[in-house]
Amino acid sequence: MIAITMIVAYFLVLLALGIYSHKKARNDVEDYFLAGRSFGPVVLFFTLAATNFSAFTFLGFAEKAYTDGMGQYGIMALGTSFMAVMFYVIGRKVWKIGKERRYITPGELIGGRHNSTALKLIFTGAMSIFTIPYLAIQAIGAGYILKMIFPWLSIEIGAVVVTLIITFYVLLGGMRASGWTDLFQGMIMVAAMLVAFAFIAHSLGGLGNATSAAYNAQPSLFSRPGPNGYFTTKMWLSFLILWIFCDPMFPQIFTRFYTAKSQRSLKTSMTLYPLLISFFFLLPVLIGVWAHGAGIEVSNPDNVLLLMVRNYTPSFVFSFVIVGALAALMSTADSQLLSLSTMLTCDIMGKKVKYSRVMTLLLSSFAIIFIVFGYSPKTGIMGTLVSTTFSGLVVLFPSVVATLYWNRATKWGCMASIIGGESIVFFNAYIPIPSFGFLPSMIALAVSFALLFVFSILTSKGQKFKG
Amino acid sequence: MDKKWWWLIFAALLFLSIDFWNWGDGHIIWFMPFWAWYIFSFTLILSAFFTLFSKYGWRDE
Repeated sequence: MIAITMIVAYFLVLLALGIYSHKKARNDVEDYFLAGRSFGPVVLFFTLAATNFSAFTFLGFAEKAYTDGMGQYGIMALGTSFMAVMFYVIGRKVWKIGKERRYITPGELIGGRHNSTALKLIFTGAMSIFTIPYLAIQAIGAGYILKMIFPWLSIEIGAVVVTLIITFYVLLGGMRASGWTDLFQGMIMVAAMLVAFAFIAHSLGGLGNATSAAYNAQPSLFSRPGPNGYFTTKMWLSFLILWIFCDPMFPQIFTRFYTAKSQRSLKTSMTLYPLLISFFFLLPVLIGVWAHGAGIEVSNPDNVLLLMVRNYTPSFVFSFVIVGALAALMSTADSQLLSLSTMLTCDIMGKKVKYSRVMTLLLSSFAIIFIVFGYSPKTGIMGTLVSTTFSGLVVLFPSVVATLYWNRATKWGCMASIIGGESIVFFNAYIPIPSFGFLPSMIALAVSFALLFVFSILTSKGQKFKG
Repeated sequence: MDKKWWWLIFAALLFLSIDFWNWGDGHIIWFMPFWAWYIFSFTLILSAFFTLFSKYGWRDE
């Protein structure tokens, strides 16, 4: 009963924020798509964090730590903390150019700088194709979470219900609703994880005892490369590079660079990001590892965090954590939904809010179809994400950075880089390419950089930016 | 401070973040292995670095 009350209250606050955003909105496209470029330091920081920290952070980290050990903290915390440098390298430039030229989407910036509609469409297409599965993953996470409270509810139906709620408030309030709900959801997410961690640690006899029990059960969890040999130095380096280059290529992160009120908002986010990550990423990892000492056996490791919370905390804490987990994934999913609909309307159909609302409904329908027919739980959250979204997005980085900083970059170089990189990602999904101990996406990234360089040099004679 | 120095420090931090000398070590201090404490401290140092950079190295355009 407590859980139902909390979940219903949480959903009602989200819907209320959506309605409030709708009432506060001015009737123009920049206000709907970018909240009028008005996000101050606090809202921008929370929306960047809540958007980036997803079901993957809440459930996936504990799952991976349970299977492969504490190395999960290192590969996630370091890369994501270093990624904050991109708020300067990419964010500052995107904010400035976007404000000057009234750009709304990532594709507009890349295509506009090279005066190429084809490049804009290729860039937007690649970003969209690799983000839609990620959107569905968030909903799948919601399905798992709701099933913990309502065992009679299928994962698919839970996922569809959450998708419909997200769709409702995104349709109403656009970016302003997304930002404000992210602020609310980000606070809940952090508070829930802290409370869960404190209660679990207490129930297991304190921090030291919880770790000792897990160490006695499986010492290899606490050293690298871990029990399955996953965390090699090459893999460590791969993830470091992957997160630094991939995270700013998420459309929901890239688009948020436009929403900053001033550079001060970006600076504050850059400073606070590693600070939050230092402890927030540690908590689910420790809970996942401690499950071994607590004797938890799970058939599906995706559920290990929720099982730990259910077994070692009072019911009201379990309910709060359920809401926190929902907040984590919904804050990511709403941002993805909005950024995808923004890109697909502004870059293809035109800058009209009503087109975007139709596109939001279409995308939600695609996500629901993916949920019902396309997802194979056997691959796990981590496996699905790494093999599709992250690899597909990281190869966009060379084009973006070259467009912003290298005068000799050409549209042909960018197109070759994107098409070549994505071809490798696609090929690797069917016939694994040799990656020499690194993530295959590193090979795709290297090829993408090489193609950009070679094709730009070959085609840059007499070129000037016109964007 | 010249921009190249900021990038030099950033590169040094990036290099030091891969603590290859701690690989295979799993000795626990309180409730975490030593290398996890290293990473925890590292993220805090990175936050301090970004604070200084945003104050003294990042000029508003």
